[in-house]
Amino acid sequence: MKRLVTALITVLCAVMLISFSACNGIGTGVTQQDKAVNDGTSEAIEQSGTSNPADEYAKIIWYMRADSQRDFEVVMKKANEILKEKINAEIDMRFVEPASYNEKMKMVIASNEYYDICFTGAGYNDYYGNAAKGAFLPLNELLPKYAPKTYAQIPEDFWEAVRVGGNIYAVINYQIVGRQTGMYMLKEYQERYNFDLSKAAKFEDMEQFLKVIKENEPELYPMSSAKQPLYIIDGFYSMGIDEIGQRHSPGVVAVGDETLTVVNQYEMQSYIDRLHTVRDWYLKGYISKDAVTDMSSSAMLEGKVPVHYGNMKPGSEIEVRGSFGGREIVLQKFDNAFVNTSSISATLNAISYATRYPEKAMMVLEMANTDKEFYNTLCFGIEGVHYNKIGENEIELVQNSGYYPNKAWAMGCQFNAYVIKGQPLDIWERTIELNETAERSKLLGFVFDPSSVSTEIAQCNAVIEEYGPGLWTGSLDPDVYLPQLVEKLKAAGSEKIIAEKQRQINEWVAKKSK
Amino acid sequence: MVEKKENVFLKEALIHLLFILIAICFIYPILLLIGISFSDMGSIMKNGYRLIPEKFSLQAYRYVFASPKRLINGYLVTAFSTTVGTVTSLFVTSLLAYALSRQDYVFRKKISFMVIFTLLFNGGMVPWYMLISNYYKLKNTVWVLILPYLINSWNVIILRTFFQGIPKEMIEAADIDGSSEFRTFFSIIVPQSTPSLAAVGFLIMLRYWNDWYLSMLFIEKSNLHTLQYMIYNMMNKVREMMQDASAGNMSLEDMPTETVRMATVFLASGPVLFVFPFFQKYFVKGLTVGSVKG
Repeated sequence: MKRLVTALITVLCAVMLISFSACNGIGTGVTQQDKAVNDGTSEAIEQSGTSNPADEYAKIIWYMRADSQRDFEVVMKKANEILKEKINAEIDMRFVEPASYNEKMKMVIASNEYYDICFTGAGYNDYYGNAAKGAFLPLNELLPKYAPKTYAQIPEDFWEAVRVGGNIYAVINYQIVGRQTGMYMLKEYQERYNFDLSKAAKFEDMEQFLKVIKENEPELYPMSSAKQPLYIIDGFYSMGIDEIGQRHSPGVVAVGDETLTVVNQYEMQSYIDRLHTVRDWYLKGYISKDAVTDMSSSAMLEGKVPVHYGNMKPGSEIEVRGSFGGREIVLQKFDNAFVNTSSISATLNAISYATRYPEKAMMVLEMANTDKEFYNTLCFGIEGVHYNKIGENEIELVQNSGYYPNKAWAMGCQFNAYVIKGQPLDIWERTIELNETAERSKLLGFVFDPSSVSTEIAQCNAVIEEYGPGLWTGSLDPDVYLPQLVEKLKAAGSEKIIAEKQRQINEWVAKKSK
Repeated sequence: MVEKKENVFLKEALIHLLFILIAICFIYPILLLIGISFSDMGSIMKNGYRLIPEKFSLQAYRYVFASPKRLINGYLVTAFSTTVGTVTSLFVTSLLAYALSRQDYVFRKKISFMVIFTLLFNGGMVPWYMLISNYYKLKNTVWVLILPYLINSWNVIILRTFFQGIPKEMIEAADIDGSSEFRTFFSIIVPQSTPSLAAVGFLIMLRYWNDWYLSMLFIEKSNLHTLQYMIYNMMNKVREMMQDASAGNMSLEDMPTETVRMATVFLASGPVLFVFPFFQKYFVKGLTVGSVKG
């Protein structure tokens, strides 16, 4: 009896083990379907022999960085209907939460998991690293053949920014790339003191307004600032600085410098002058004494900070309202717009190297970048359910609708999106114009590889963390502390970093001119 | 005699004071959490965090419960994976540990070696991912939340040590009386080991309850996300928006406010807080279970 039971148990275990491997059938979801479709199409190809892969049906897997939505299934069904009709394809869109997108994609790419398209960018999913490793498909031939409109609508020189080793590895999601800065002011203050904003043309000109406000309202700190104030971060162009690599790392090129000489920005006259201006304003009480430690933006929300300097683009006077607690803003543009590599490569879509349907995937991207119906369905959902049309090109979003990923810039060319109520109607035309008239960085297409000087950069970072916030908010006297900063940077290896940046730039120039 | 008593009193008072302070350090953040979640957003912006809310408001909870489906789904998935996971894991781990504790088991040395080897080395994250995703095809199923953590070498060793402490004579006696191995295990060994089983069970439960990593890597359907993963995403939303802003992409939606974040955290961690006192008895006993034999 005992032997029988033991035998039975052994058989049971064996059966369980075998059934685990049969588990292959459950939970495969799309991969299995995918295989079936592929088998179907490959058979079809074998049979017909001359059929064009671009006409065959395919299901394209697309990883997108967006929050999961309640009505995701419904919207994707609609989008697929449109797509099937137009190019005989469907997408298996997979939203991955933004917080975990980079980690997840690292895993997907490292383990050779199958997918067709993925969202990427300079800061998302490490576009440059992955392109160099060969994770993405070179698109040089596919672009003009299957996505001609997409290729044509972006200025030729912008494509340089995504070239790695001579090949283009991703499609640019065309959106605002020109960086322009200017001054924001609360409308009530402009009216109260009758300011003529056009008198201000650069950062230093803001002083006249700050002076008047301070004289009349001594308890107020008119100028907004923070530990890393925007008049430093967004203001690099206005100081004539074209940054290379990590923000604040020593070694930049002067804007417009044809010789592309790398210099230490902390020794540049324009930088020193900016610090002096800020220090002056701090002493006069224009900048809050707590700027270095105050992390909250509550003062801005309550309308206690009338003047703000930062990035601008068409329509930002509406968008920025949120940070000012919904108050009306007026703005004054300062410098010309500036375009550099990182602003172009911010949002891209790449095709996996191992894709089975390169032509179809390219066509899907062409649709996302040129077909208004498909693109807007992806961005905003279904008309009447998730948004309502209130004009030819204008829509109003339905609150709590169940579909609003708010990632129009990740899905395709943003200029095809409907204008949302509240944005100026001509926002896209103005943005396109801004992009086309912007000054191009001479370093367009160059990407710095920091791996050989990463320790030095980390050390310099520590020094900058120590002195930076104080100098930038004016709480430290630049005449005393800036020389100290420069000295400590030299001790931390700033010269080595600058030399390495120069070497890589020279190499890049030499390769380009071949 | 009196002085001696006072000395002891002073010493005890100091020790009590020290532990009271440490306890406050642990409890204060949780009380603060509860306080913030019941506050009105405006008063938080103006006056910062307060233990007792300045302006009591259910605004945060109303916001969270407005779309309760997500939260309820998260609870269901997490409850399922935790209960099924804990029970199964405890079952399998104790079976393995018992077999390894018996001196007369033929493969004892070999399997013990395998268990200890995996404690020290593993194959790496990418092969593990490939195994689960490409070979077992467990992606997007609820089982992927349970199976990877089923056997933990550490737990096996703890239980094995405890089982080794059970007198061999008892097992021999049961064998003589004609009991089968399984009968011996379930009727004699298990009732004797409740403290250590409860302790290990609690550790396993915590592992399953707190896990968001498996959801992040393997689940792409939002209705299979665990509670912790939802919280992880929500808490990081602010950081992600900052990243978008620095890349030049503006977001038009509002950031999840402090109060909403605190309310969600409280809703997710609350149950564990309430369950713990019941386990405390076993946990304390079980802490020392691996240290003394016999």
